[in-house]
Amino acid sequence: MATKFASKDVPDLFYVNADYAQQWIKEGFLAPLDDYIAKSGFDTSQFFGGYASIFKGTDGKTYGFAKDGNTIGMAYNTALVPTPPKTMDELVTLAQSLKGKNGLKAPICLNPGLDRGLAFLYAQGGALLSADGKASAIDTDPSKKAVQWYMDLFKNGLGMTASDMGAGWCGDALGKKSAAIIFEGGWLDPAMTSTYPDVKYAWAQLPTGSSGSPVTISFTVSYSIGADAKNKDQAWVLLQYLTGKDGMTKWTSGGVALPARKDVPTPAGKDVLAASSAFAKPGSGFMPGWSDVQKAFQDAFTAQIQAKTFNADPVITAAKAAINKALAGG
Amino acid sequence: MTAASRPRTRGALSKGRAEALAGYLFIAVPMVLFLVLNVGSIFYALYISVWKWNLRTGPVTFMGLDNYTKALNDPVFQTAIKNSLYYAVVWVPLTMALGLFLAVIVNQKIRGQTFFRAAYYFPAIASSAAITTLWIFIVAPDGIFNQSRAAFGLNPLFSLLGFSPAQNWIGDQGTALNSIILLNAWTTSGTFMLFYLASLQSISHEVYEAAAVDGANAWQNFWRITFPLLKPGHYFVATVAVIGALQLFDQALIGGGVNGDPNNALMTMVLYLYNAAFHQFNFSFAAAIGIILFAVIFTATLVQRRLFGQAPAW
Repeated sequence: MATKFASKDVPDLFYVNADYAQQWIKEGFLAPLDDYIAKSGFDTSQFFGGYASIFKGTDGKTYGFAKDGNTIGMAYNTALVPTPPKTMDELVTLAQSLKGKNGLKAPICLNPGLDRGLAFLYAQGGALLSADGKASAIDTDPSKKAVQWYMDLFKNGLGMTASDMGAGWCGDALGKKSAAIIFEGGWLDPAMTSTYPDVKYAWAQLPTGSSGSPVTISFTVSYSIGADAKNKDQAWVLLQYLTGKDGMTKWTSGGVALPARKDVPTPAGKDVLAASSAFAKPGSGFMPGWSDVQKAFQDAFTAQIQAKTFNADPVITAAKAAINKALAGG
Repeated sequence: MTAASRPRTRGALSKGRAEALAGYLFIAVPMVLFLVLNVGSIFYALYISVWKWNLRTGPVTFMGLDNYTKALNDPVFQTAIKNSLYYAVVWVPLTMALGLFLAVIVNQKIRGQTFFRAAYYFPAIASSAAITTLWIFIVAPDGIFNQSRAAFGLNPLFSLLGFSPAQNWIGDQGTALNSIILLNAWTTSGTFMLFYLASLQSISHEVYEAAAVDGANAWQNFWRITFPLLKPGHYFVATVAVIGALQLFDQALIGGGVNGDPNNALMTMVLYLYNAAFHQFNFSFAAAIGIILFAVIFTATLVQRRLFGQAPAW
């Protein structure tokens, strides 16, 4: 896409990953859609809040609509976990009972970064940003405790990275029976069916933590129109269909992604994950410089677990510095 | 000189000039391409690097050397430089030694010489993406490498060195870069073997015959004759190797993703540049990195020229 933006020869309509959205809006690669929305009366109220906010610029304009989405849920091997834990405390108790048994390398497969850790941070009452999104909140007590809690899962042998399990990702670890519990999204289903059809698993919502309310994170991709697109009017017609009720119903019936709209029926087998859409918070791209923040957190976190020092403080320090730098404009 | 010979001399001169002209015309097209696409883009990168640059609209504001100071002050870029230099310092001699060793072996008159040459060269023709993926499987915690060292009873030795039976070679920040060094030493040694083989075959037999008359043994032959006479080969291989080493990218990307995981252990200068350009869309910053990389490689090559003397005639 970089060469297409540079040569001003962009497709009329294309995906924008939430990771890149803020950057692309800022650089002026995307066309604002507000005039089109006003003219055509496109109903934007049906989009879940977590998906809609990502594609708004700092100027308040809308630069895309989510084509679909996915939430992070808990997938567990039903042969090893008869009843899924409902709270984080139950999760720890269950993991302790599974530790060192059934050939598991660790009960839980975990990512050493915010791409999953953020869900746990929220569940345990922590936050990255203050309520108005203008300041860092990673060094508040609840946030520090939450990061330390997540790191202690590694420390106590309850959690392990997919890489240390010899797996490409946690879905792979569930399939190889290296882990009994993983935290993934709807993309797990086709992977398990095609690669590990014999491993029986089920979905449950992310266990509730000390924050007391159900929470998780979501990921999405938009359809957007290029600022230099040649056929913007036609692109808008297609965009309305693809992100509208009918188009999204057809698209999400494929069985990977979840609807990003409330008025689209839940695809078969996606009830648990879809039920989280209403309260899921954005898992990426919700702040400028997100990839730098994520990298700073993951690098520091990885350093701690690999050195077996398991101290959350350097992670907090590194993440805070990255957040402040990102909020100040990089 | 007689009067009659003069016109012929003038004719020969102008014929020489015509040949030169034809020669220049022949190289004009590649030269123009080289100047525009190679030299031109270096200067264009230099120009971009001092601006805040929008990919769509071009220069936004003049930044001077801000991109350079920002890069040099970024701890991640410092790690990238450190990693790239470490890689060059360890990988280049290791791979050169391996390549030379293989070249000397396959240069012997042994049965199946062609087979061995092809076999040693084989990893070099495999796609780096494919062979890196294979390597990731081989050195994974439950991969064939860890399994075979257990089977051969080598684990006590490894635990003395501090490695657990399920050591995650590419996923551990302490061993990731060394794992990639071993991978590339294996895959590239075949190419270096070819370079050395060409140099070996240019050494005259008479030198060895004279040495044989003087009663030199194989060891003396190698260290007193082969190794010094390979100097042009060493220079060529070392230069190509250092440039390649400082441009390490694909194995790092495949092994550690765009972030050079774990914890920047696989972050290299070119991977950092790639991130700046294609993940953060900050092309002026990426251009500055490119210029720094150019300066590093240029300096390294100059240093090598000093060490190995002047470049040979080719």
